[in-house]
Amino acid sequence: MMWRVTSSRLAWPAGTVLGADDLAGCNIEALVAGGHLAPEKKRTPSEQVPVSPRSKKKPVDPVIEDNSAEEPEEQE
Amino acid sequence: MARIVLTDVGVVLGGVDLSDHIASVEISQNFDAVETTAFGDGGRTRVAGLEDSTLSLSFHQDFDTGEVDATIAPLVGGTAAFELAPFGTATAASGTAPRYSGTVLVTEWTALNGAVGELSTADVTWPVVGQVARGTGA
Repeated sequence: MMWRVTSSRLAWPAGTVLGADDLAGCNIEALVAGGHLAPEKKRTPSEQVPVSPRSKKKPVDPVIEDNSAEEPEEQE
Repeated sequence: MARIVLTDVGVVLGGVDLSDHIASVEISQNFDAVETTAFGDGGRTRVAGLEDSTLSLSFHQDFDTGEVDATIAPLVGGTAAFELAPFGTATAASGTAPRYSGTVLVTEWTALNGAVGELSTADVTWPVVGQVARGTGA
């Protein structure tokens, strides 16, 4: 669980993201209720957009126009 | 030793610096006087017993988010760590600028107090849980 500092009255500047270790000894519930901290939603692996194997596109070989290998047309 | 005029006492409660909304502070350290008088003593003798200290503060009430009432109200009935810095929180603790810290039991809160035309204040006296520590940065 992480919390973002939302007031200017804590030891950390507003916007700082803190973990439970940083807030050891603090009454986190009271700090959240008081408007000093806000829970920071941490993106978990289950929330990440799954990458379907089907959505993987095979890389397309680049088309290179190279006529040098072609045999010259026979001219009558 | 130089006399001091208090102008910038830092008061941090539960990790929240409310100094700019506090007009007076008093940390009162008291100890029980346990009598040890015995036969043969010419007068009563005593030793210090348990510490029974209190912290008194006078708040300027403020109902804004993250201000006085929002900070203290969730603490009522529970405990909160405190730190007092006589020369402000920016001044490092030292032998001549001690810091006092401990934990108080938030036993009272006067959310609204005042008369017409007066500043709304909240005066509290909270008992200290355990002992008051005096830090000198050493």
